[in-house]
Amino acid sequence: MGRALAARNLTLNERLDAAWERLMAQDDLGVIHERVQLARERDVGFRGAAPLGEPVNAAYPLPPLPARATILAADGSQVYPSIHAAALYYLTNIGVFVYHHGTEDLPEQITEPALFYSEKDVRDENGQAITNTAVNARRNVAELQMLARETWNRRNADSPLLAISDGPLLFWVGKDVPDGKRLEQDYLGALVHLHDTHASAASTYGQSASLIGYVDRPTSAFVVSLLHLLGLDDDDVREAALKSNGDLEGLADQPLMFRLLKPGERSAVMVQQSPQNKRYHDKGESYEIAFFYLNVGQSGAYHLARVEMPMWVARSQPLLDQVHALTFDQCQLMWRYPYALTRADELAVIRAAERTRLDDMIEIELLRNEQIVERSEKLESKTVRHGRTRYRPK
Amino acid sequence: MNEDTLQQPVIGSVLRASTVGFVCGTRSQEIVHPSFGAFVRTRHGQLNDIDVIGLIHAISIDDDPLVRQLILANNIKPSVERDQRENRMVPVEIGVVNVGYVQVGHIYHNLPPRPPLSLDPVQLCDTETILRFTERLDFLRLVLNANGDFPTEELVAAALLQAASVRPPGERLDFLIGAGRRLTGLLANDLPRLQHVLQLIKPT
Repeated sequence: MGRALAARNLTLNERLDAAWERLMAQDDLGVIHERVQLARERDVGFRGAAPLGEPVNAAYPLPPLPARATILAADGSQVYPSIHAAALYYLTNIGVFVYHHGTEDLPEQITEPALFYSEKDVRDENGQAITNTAVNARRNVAELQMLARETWNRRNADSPLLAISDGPLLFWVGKDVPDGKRLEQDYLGALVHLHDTHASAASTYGQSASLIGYVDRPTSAFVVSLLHLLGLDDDDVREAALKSNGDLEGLADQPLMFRLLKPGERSAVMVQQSPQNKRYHDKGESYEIAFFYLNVGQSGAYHLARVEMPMWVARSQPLLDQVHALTFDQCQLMWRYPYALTRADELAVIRAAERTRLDDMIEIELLRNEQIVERSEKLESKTVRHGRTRYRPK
Repeated sequence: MNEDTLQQPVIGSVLRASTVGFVCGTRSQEIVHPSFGAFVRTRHGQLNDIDVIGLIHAISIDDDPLVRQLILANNIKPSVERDQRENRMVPVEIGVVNVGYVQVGHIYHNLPPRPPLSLDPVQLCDTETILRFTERLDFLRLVLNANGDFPTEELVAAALLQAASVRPPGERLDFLIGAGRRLTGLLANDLPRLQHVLQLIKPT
């Protein structure tokens, strides 16, 4: 296994050298934009990145940290529906953590659990129990909605607002989510709410509201895909050639960025080309999602994050600088991950013991209402086999 | 229970218990009151008629991955410190060895017949309770013979010094001399231990 991994690393290193050479040669933004435009026109399924307005082969240094800011982070967790439980239900718990950067104010903690058990919530149109994917999608939307609401509630702050969402900002759902279309609309609605907060804070108080999606240790290859596209002849810009990254296939952006970025530095702002992002763009130019890579590590211990943001942030140099500096600062508090997100995750998480307690409470309520509690034999046998003791109400 | 007892600060709630001792949980910003060797008592609820009296023998803060990470990052800001201490429910555990109990107003110098119940509040003993309880020193034998992993001589000394401190200045020396005599009887077969405890309670 060691030999096999070493051999794979060797080839990856060769690909990395090739990608690096290609990246360093990209001095002309006009050429890059022309090539991306060609891929778009031919509709060849290009899913790589396109630079927004900065050279892609440069690193952008850490700007000064704003003296004050209000940072809000949201995260969620869930109890999935189980057909083996006493009742078919699911639970989501959203946590929002508010950190007052630059002050000694006590951070705020907000949690919102929600229990769903009605037939329309837990079953699809065919009467089947909804999937875990559907619960994840609903939780994602609830997270952004709560983040938007709490940010809006603080729009009169005398410092910039930064809302941090866990994970990518582009949201889409599969066909197994019964209310997928409505969820996508609700998600975009939350984005608009955040943009309204920015507009309100800017016009009334001269402040701003930014949104980012924080992706830790990204495995994306958007820049590598761009380099592959740029390495093709015009005639070769075809769907077949873009199904893989050709001679760079298997290489992710991370090692490339580690060569380019020192701790604190970010990459150029780029836009991922995808049908989902086009839908966001069609909603309004401010809602298309851009990103930059940020080295949030320290000397000798590099760590990469992809920081996604809507276009109203990406196109504003002051907001971009705020996002860059505040995100890095948040990561330094926790070594290399945003402190506010860590705490939001802690607020949201539902532990196994809490889930067991919830199950017990539901069973008690069913019994109080003279319902027969039928436990799945499968679940009961697991309890017996694994020797789990449960102290049940008599 | 008198007015002073009711006004004593609650330092936590019973987490787990037996007839020989209990562990009380509290939040990290609430550990300014309890100290090693302090007399504490539980306050019974409706299901129990016994207030257990004990001595704090250990105060420990649980290991916490988030705090480890913050220490590693070495960049702790005041707001983060406040967040950790005031918002996060990092449990602090206070270990208590039982030395007596109060039942229907009477003080007993023996192990309680039943342990306190989970979530019973735990208070520091008020001066009057300490005075009444330490009129007799039968609890010394219980502590010296305890099998816990705590330093029994230091615990006995800390308790005796606290009991002396709540007495009027003119009575303190006599109290400590009386305690020393009692210890001499209890540790007659273990002179190094006796010498050590007497050294610890010796008035300066």
